[in-house]
Amino acid sequence: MSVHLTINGIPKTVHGDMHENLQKVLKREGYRTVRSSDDGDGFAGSDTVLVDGAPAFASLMVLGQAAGREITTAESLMKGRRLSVIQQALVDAGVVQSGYNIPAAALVLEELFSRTQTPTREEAADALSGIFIRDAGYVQFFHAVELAAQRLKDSSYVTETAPEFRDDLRHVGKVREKVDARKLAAGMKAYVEDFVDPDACFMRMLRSPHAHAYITSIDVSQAEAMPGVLAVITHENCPDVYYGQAGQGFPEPSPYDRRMFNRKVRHAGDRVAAVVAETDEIALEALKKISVKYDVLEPVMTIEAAKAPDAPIIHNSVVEYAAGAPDDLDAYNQTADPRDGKVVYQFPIGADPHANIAASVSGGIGDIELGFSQADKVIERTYRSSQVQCTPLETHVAYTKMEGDRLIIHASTQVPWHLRRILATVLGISENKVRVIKERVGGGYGSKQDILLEDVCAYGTWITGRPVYFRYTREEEFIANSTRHVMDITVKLGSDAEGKITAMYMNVEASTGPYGNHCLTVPMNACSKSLPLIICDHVKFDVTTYYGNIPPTGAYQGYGAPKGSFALMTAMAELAEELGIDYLELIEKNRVREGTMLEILKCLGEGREGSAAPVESCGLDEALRRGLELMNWDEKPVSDDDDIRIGRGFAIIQQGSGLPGLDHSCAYIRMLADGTFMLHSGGADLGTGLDTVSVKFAAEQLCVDMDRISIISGDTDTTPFDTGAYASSGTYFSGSASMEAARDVKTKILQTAAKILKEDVENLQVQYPGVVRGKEGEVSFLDIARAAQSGEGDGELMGYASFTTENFSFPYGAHFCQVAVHMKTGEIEVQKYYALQDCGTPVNPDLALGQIYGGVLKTIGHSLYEQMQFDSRGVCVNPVLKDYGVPMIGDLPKDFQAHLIYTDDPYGPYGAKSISEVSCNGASPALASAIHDAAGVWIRDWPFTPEKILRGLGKIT
Amino acid sequence: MMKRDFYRTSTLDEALELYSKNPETVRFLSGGTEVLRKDSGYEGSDLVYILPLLDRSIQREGKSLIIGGGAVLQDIIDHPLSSEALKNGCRNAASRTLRCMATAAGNIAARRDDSYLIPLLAAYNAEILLMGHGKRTITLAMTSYLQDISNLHGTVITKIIIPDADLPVLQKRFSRSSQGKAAVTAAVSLGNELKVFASAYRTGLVRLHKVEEAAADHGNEQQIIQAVQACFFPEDDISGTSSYKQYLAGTAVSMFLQELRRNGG
Repeated sequence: MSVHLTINGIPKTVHGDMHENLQKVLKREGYRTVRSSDDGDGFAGSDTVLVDGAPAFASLMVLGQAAGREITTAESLMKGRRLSVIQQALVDAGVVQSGYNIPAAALVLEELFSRTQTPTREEAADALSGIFIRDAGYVQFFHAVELAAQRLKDSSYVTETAPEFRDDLRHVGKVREKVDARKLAAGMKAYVEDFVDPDACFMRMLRSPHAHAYITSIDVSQAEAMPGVLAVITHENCPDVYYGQAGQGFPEPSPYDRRMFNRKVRHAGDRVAAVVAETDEIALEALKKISVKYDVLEPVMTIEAAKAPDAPIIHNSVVEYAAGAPDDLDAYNQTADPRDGKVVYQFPIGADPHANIAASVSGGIGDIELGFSQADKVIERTYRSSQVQCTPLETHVAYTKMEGDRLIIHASTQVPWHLRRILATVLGISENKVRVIKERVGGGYGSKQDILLEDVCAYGTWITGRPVYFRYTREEEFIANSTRHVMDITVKLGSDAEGKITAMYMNVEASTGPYGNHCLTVPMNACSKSLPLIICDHVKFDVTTYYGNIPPTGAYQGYGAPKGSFALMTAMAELAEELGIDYLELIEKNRVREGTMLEILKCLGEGREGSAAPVESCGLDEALRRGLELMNWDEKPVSDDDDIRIGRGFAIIQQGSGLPGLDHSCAYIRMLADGTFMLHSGGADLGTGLDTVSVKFAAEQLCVDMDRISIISGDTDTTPFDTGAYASSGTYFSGSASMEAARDVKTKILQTAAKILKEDVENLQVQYPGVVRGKEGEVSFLDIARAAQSGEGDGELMGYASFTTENFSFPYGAHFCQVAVHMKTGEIEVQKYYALQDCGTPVNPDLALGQIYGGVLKTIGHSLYEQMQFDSRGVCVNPVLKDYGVPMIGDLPKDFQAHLIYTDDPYGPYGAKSISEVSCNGASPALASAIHDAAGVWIRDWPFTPEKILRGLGKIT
Repeated sequence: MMKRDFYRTSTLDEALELYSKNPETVRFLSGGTEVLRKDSGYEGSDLVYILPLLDRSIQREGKSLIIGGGAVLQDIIDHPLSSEALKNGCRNAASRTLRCMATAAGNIAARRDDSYLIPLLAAYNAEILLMGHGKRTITLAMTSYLQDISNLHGTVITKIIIPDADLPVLQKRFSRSSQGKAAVTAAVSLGNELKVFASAYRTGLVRLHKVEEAAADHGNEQQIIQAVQACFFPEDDISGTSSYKQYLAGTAVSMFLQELRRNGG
């Protein structure tokens, strides 16, 4: 059938099935900005178009409806190479992080401006109400709307979009356009889905309906016989290789406890069979033809159930150690069931899989019993935090193909090099035969640190020789993604009567779910990123992580810290109440300060020995001072509605900046023939602005404008090794590598200039805008490059750096909030949220603010709304964004402010520290104490729902 | 997969005729936000696209407000004749994009437990005008339509009539987040007669007669809640437990009554 319609003002005839989803039709016709992130649920807005001028979700339309209509996509916005006023305003306001929904946001804002040239904040929020943004929060979208409104009146209008720092530097600390923002705002080719070739095959996964079962038989013959089916992969024909999906540095602390497919399925949604077919439709049909029989086992859905003496064993496997095997291993393995396969540890992590223990560790300083004996008051509380999903707009996706005898993978990953290593291991090939190209990442938040689908997609290509495209559905994103571990954290605090903490004990019990991704390090991080906030001589912690049959867990922005912070800070607030001491006073008496030696870090190495470290910079003094001032803390507001109580809370927080001693980043930079530069960074920018950080550092070193440096990053063929974008390592590690590489090429530039100028190198300086000046003369970078490549010079000048460090650089923050609790309905309104964040020198101030807004809003969502829920069989019953409860623009705190607290860290590049993860640590404890301040109820488990408040108030029994 | 048909007819009667011939396989398609939503199973149906055939106007006739079957929720919000309560009801669909697609008539026809509008329109004593094949028209109370819907297949809502648009009505949809699943939606109107409605998971629309009686006896909040517990039986689901929903409905109704009475209702 043919349909006549108008697309972006041009009459078109589109051929297709009248029933076909309009989003798919438009995508097929080349309108790549009409993306899909909710599979047609009418929620996330990636598929937004205008139909006859009004916004519509293209996935909720079929082609037949479009006949005779005017369809407008975001492709219409850019005129030639020039962004529209609104697109440019979005770029300038700093909202473009992963950027997946920016074209859609630009489109609905264009529609808003077609209705009014002076939109109010409410009108802007309403226009954006159908657009889900997970990374940047929404606050800066209001700035973009204001900016666009002004520029529509006066095209030369400029305004400050973020504060700037470091007058001594040209780029660092200044608001500069994010290097990929223009491309993402315009909707150019950027994401994996944009690089899929027309001859690509499709992969679909048959997943287990049972949370815990053995596959007793699997018949794929009918599926294999279908025309167009190229391969069906199951546990019977997959590589017999054990590995882990956690993208961590080798040797990983996470166990190798899975094959590509396993005879035992360990969560509802676990892999059963993958089909590679010529079309997506054939692949889906083939899944229906696979016959599987299961021996269903009792699922283990809680930590308590996993601990029970007679609990079903998730991994009753043969255990092996690459190093450090215990003496009784043979005896241990006597009871293993071969159907469960193997678990291989690179080194001991305190595991006892036959007791469902995936990992355990204990440690401490001082004498905990002595500390408690010195206390006048001891409290012990348990805090429960649930499984929350990363929900990137771009679901997990991979595209693999062969080029000669090499496997090429276009990946949306945070860890290109770990991905290459794991793929090579699983496929049994060497790493030189694998190329990983990290495309722009449409949201990761930790979940793209794990290798969740790339392995099987690559194997599909390896055995068929065909290009294969595999993308998770939104439901798969819920049931087969890895995300932060469920934790029950018990905190026991001892204090003297004046509020000095004498002893601090934290017992973390976590569920890693079916496999051991990050099973040691995430729960341990709950301790390592919270306990150092409180200075105490006697500290002890125990961490035990259990297997279970919940959906997989792994990394999530903040790692274990948001949960540890929730527990420790809320316990401190509860202790203050018990002591009758002001919570602020209690914190001030015990908190970390600049100069503190963190003895606790001796026992908090992540899978290795730790060491005490000093706090060289700490912005908590200023963060608390400004926060209290902003909140007008001395005057508690009172509601004029008898049913509503106002409460306030705060928390201090910290994180790290990468993993000193573990992380490793490399970069090189080439001086091109005209004196400009190509920077090759191993860093994996997942939307945070890491590439911009790297370019700024290099430009700062080389005294040139940023547009004189282009960057390639995260490509294993064309950039050097980097451990990846996790643990808040980007600025500190990858950024430092770029800075040092630039410093290295600067040395070579000076050496070449010395020959040209015939002056001593010691007398030469690189100066803006890219010249070398000596005592006698000067020479431009252009002339230096030409001389170097003249046939008589040193060739292309290149700088290289490999960056490692043992020095810690801790970001800190103080978060304040004010809530209104309706005492009759339990409803919670977040009236104010102020996040004051010390990230050292804010390298990209506008982007840093966006990171804070995004991190905070995510954690407000985790604390108040988001919840994966399961039926009695362990099946997730709400695997859609709406029912899961992600916050939208309508859930923003009424007054939401992020503030950057400047400190000059001696270790971070240009004094910078990390920003991306620490922002996630404050909302939960701040909200918990604010709710208590308002309603007198302590809520100790996520999410803090109105129902729990009403139960706490005794309104419901 | 079997190929299905998509029809655009010249008249609504032709669309209704198509349905009457193939009631098992044909589905009417209007705004599409329910019919075309993920997992709705539309791929297996023939679709008859009726939105262009439906009146999109909103008109006031005396005290009545008449909403065309093709009016989308955003039309109602934008219309100067719509009451604030009605606008707020439409804003329960917190996504403007969704509101620009979803028709009020479709929201009724979908009969969702978490409908944005049904309790509110019930409190407004809304009537609907249906058209069946042969240009047969039926006007009936919306509540009757919802009860008799199994006998009304093959009809299309062509108008929604609110007999008294000035009727004091309050409604609230309780959900954790702005676009999350509703735990309870409750509505109260106080005209010549007090009417109380609530809807929650697995209840459908329920008129809370016992609550109306308790309110008529000037029952206090606790008595109202107890009355709700005696006549409103939602089930546990992801939005909360049954007891929470009962409590919430009772509390909401009690607050609405106070407000309506305070405002002279």
